[in-house]
Amino acid sequence: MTRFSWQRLRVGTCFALALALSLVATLQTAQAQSSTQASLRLKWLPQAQFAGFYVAKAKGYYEDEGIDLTINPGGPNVLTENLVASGSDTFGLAGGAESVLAARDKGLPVVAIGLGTQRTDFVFVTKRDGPIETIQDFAGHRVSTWFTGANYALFAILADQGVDRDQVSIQPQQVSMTPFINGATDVATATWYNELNTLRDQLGEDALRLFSPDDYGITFPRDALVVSETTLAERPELVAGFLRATLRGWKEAFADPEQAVDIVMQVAPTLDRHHQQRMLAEMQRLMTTGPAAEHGLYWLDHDTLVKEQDLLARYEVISQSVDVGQAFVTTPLESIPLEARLP
Amino acid sequence: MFATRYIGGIRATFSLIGFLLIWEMVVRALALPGYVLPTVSAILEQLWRQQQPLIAAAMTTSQQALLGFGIGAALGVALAVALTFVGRLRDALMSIVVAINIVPMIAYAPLVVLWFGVGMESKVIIVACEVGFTVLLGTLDGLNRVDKRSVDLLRSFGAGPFELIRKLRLPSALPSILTALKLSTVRSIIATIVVEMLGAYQGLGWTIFQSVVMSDFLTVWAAILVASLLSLAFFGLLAWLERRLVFWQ
Repeated sequence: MTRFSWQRLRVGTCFALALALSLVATLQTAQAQSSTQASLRLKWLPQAQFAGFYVAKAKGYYEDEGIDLTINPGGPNVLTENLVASGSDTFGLAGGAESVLAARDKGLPVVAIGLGTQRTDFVFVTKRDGPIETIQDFAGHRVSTWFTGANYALFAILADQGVDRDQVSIQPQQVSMTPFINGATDVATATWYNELNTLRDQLGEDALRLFSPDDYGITFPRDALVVSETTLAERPELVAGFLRATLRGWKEAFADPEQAVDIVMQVAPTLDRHHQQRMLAEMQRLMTTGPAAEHGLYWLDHDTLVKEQDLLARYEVISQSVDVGQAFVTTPLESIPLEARLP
Repeated sequence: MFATRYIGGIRATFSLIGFLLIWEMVVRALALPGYVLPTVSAILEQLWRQQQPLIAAAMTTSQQALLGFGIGAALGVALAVALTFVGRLRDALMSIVVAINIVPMIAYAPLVVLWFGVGMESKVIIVACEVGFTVLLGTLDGLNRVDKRSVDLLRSFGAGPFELIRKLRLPSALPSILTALKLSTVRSIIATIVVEMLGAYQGLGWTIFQSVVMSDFLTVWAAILVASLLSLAFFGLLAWLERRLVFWQ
């Protein structure tokens, strides 16, 4: 080949590239006109805890609502409320009612439009053959918990049962459950859907004794769906569409859990299948319990939330000034017929 | 020389104040919300309001950093001196040291927290390792910088290996050792804070982690400010020591 023809080839390639690029750009504009771009920030890495969102995306439920949804995973030190408040993400699955109240208290313009687990998603767990049989036995023993909200549930239980908090050695809990398994701590905190399943697998189903905050009248609903005040005010149809598709996704996931786990595992192939199946089963139980039976999935129970706010204000985590009615809004959910929300 | 240092100090102070002023004005002009970037004045106000818990956190962090720093520095120098005695074995041992040092110490932090708990030990160990390797390599470098002819001279006067270390090698290695120590100051604070974020009872890293979860960004910034001041003070202390001890350079 001569040098001249090389040059022509190069010019030709450039033209082809430019053409391709402009074509992609045109296509993208066309797509943008037909569907709205939006993103959802999760509170942790992909797992069956979020199956409903992944199923809704895989089945095209968001597309049906005209939403081109990107699901962004979370991780340690990723604060969903901040990313939604700053506009980096349209929607977010945040820690829980407690983190939404704290964010509102600090002036972040985020609103919860749904709460995933209707009951507290964590328990305090101890070994059945260990020294602890009642909450009173916590005194003089080592209890590890998350100092990111769960600790206040613990404080409240101890107060409810008349145990002096200073008598209990309360330690911050690490990510790993090894210190509890080894016996370095007597009581640990575990989510129903994750750590507890790990412990049941390692120590045996009957080897554990559980203390659930809900049994002591303390309910921390968790997995809060949040959106910015601006999005809620200016794009109510986007918010309602997102909720409709999400509800469909969860109902589909509950109806066919095997398929749902398949979809999640396509996103994160290294996950342990058995663990994910059990996680989804626990999520179904936590999401369909309590007020959900009457009001449907993601319901925001006003009385529960007021009680939680009182508790957090008592421990000076937040000020009393957060308006629960403004922080947790049921309007988008109520725009969807009840039968579409019922599990 | 004093005059130039004085002028340098004034310049640094003015550029820092200028930077903070620009920060304050930009945030106010763009009306940035506090959760994106707060104003300097709001951060200082928070620092004032939260001074007691922040001072307590800074005390914990600096104690852990200083203890780890002390242990790491002592071990680093001692090991370097010991390595000069083993002769040919040195090269073999050095390759192991370099191989370990290539993996960032912080990568071991989750394991160290698992082994030694969320208390003080895990932080001190990580800091000691982080500082130890830096000081070891710096000291070895300094010990080898000795002029061969000076060694021969001292030997001809009948100096043994210990005297060689004490009278010749260590004094001439001092500048390298102090440079390594100075570099390690900021590293020790960084390492402490990172390990604290993984789990701790208190400390600046722990304060930052908890405040982020509770959306308390003013406290996050106030803690960052305190951590910066801590680093600066520690570095300044070592720089001052260096000027005192290595006055001939």
